[in-house]
Amino acid sequence: MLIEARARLAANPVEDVVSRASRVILGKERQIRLALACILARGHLLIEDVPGVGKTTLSQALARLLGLHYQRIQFTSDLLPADIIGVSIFERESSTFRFHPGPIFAQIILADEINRASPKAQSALLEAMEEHQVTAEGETRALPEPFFVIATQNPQNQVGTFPLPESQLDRFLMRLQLGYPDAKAERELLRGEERRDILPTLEPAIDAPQLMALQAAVPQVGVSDALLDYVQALVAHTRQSPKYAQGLSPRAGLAVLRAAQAWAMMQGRTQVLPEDVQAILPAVVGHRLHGAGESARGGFDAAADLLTAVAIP
Amino acid sequence: MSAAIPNAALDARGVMWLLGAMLFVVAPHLARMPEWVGAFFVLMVAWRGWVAWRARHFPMRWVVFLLTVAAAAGTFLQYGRLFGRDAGTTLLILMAAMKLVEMRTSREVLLAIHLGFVLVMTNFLYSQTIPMGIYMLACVWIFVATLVGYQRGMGRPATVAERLVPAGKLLAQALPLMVVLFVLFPRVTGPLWALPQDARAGLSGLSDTMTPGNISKLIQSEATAFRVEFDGDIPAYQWLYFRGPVLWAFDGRSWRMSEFSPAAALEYPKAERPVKYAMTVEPHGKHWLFALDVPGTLPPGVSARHDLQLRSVRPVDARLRYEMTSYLDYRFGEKLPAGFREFALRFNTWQNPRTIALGRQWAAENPDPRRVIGRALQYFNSQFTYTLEPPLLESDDPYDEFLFDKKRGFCEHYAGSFALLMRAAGIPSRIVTGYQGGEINPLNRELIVRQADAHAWVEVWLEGEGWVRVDPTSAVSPNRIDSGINAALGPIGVIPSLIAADRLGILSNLRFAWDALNSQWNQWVLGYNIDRQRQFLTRLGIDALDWMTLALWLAGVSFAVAGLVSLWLVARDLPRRDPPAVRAWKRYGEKLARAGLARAPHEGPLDYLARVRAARPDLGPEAVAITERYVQARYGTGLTAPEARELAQRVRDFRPA
Repeated sequence: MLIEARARLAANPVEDVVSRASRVILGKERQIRLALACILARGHLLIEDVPGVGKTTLSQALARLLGLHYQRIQFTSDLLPADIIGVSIFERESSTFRFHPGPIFAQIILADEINRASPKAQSALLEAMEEHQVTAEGETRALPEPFFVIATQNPQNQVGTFPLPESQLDRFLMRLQLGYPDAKAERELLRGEERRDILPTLEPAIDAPQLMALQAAVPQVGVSDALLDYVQALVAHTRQSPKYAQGLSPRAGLAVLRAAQAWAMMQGRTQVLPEDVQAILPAVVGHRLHGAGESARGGFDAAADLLTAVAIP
Repeated sequence: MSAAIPNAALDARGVMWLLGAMLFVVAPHLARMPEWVGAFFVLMVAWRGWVAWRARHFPMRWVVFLLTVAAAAGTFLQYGRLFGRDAGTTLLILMAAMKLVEMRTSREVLLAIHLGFVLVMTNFLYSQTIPMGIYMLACVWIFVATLVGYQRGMGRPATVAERLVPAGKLLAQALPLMVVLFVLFPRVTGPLWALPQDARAGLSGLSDTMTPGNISKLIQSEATAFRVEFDGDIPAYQWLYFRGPVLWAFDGRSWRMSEFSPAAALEYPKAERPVKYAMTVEPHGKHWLFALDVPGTLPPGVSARHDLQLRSVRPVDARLRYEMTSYLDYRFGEKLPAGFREFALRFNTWQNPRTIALGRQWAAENPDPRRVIGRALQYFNSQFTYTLEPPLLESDDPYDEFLFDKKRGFCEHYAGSFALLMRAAGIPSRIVTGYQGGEINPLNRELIVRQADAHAWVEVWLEGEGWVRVDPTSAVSPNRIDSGINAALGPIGVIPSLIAADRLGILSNLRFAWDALNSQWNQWVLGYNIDRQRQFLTRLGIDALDWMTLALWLAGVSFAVAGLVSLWLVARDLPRRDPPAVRAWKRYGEKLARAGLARAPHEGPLDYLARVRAARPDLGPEAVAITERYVQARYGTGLTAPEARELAQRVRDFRPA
């Protein structure tokens, strides 16, 4: 029953979101699932890839399908923190300052091309991600619940980018790469209508209370000692092996576990299996791991190496 | 000019560590040695540290040579020799410093570390207390850590933990072997190496003269004089008179031990209430021993003088334990030869005239000695004060000054003036010094007698009764005799306010516990001689031991212990036995591997199942069942006993090949 559970889950609202999103983003079911797992684990999502592979489309589709109030912030090099958080403006008739909330006051924030903005603007957003609140003009304001940031960014070597520092990358639970579509999906894409035109027609498959109930169920997914052994072995390997510049932090280990629980739940399981950990591991640790030495491999490759290097205890 | 090689080969942190260890081990010596030795050592270590830290050049060879010669010459000038405990240790410390200065290869570092181990041992020549033992253990630990740091090989210098933790583990593993060696190593009669002559300097104890003011220093001292273990009940305080030197000769101020004192047999016309006990006397460097009045037996190598003072053939240089029987109710010395009688009545008539006049006046008024004694005690009781800080007696007639003017003093004053009064009244008398009272350790029922319990009393000779003990101090301060000096004076030796605050008795309990521990340490560690060893081993069932059998035992047990420790270390690293479900799963994987479907180490059970089903659809249902049970056992809710048996059975029946 643990194994064959997935077939019986067709009516699962999460499956519904996946199938609808797949109609917009062709051939990327796995990435869509990972993105959903990230949201169910209450983590922020970073999508990184070259322009034109559908980063923004994916994030917009997710926002619409989850039925949440969303705002999009296009990050540019002259974006100021006030543009994100909001400003107080003097109103003549009442002779008072009134706060005009910025786009950050939404349930889903689509932060487009986050690494094109200056570090100052970046940190305004990242602070909100960490604290779930913003401070404007000396007053602290809570952000709505649920609150997610789906940020997109171009690869670091593109012109005109300010790379996110590691401490801020750490605030994203997952980093996804979309990659080019395969031949079949690309053909369909070329034949079909403009994908962005489909977006407004998407109806929410789920609403906010449902989403929050699913999120609350994630930590209930069972984790056995044997599985904890596996997660610890993975983390310990990154700390001991000379192949990595720096080992994974305890927070990273916790992130792996939480994401694996969300993934297991999406598979219709009540227990986490090593396969769940393996499924989410590259997305969760890819942006936290750096290879060491001259033949250093990038984050995703380093994470893939980690999977084959560590035996399941 | 040849000796200028930069110290690139030695790691500066390692050298610093070694220098620190050297300072640590020599530190206790610095207080004992002349100041210039400590200054020289610290200076040399600082120099070497500077050379290492700033990567300076080493001193020229001729500088080192001159310093070495100067150090040796200084040692000789200080002590007049180069051997013996103090001179030898000093020389060793100075040469160790020079070794550090010229040390520039790894081999020399190793040598310096071993020198450090020898230096650890030298501390033992000066102090054998428990705190020193702990300190020396810490020294050994630090030196082993230094060694670990050096053997770690090249690369990054070791951190403090990387040195101390392995060193601590090594020591802990060596501990069983250490115990075996300690217990079984053949002992020789007498110490393995005799302590050099100068080790005896500065030991405290009673003296063979008594001048009022002499014992006041002792009374303040908390140092243990001896410990007594009674066989049975401890007698009441007023019986606890431990006899030491007996002073006959009187010169108008001081009382001295007489040189002439023939040995005597311990035979008494009356000897009742025997008490059996064992004394453990701290070394005091003198010949006399202590015993409860009156001693009935003699320990080996000890004789009794006719005044019942015990004398050992050799001075008491090491802690001495002996067993005694004494009689509390006794009569002795009924016959007093004329020579002794004359000696016990002698005094200078031109000194202390008022005291002599008083004694003579009492005798004239009533010649019965008992009456005279009674009057004297009454006299003390009526007007005198017991104090440890009496005024100085500076005149030529000190007893006149004490009896008629100052009237304040402690046991010496009372005993001295009482004996003089008796002699003036024609009653033979003498002073007995020793210890009175003590403290009972409630933890082990041991009586601890401290230097503070030192006491002096008087023996008078009465016709028909012999020598009778009279303690004039008890007439002045009965508490001193009934319950010990602490009761007479209030607490001493410890800060009084601390004792006063110690209402719950925590401090005194701690003190008792510490004393009991020290007693065990003395008896079983320091006093573990050939007799104790034989006694202990006999109790273990190892009998009739000459040193050859002992050596065989030693080798055998050492090998056994080392073997056990190694076995344990090996066994600890062996993988623990897997739970049943994991064993079944492994067997399942092995069977499939023989069929060409080995599981990759990182392959999860579901992925493996998918691969197996794809490759061998015929195995499908069985594989699903086994995998499902395994997943449930390992990652799910666990298996019930029947389910576990079912899994094992399925795996046994599984035939992929």
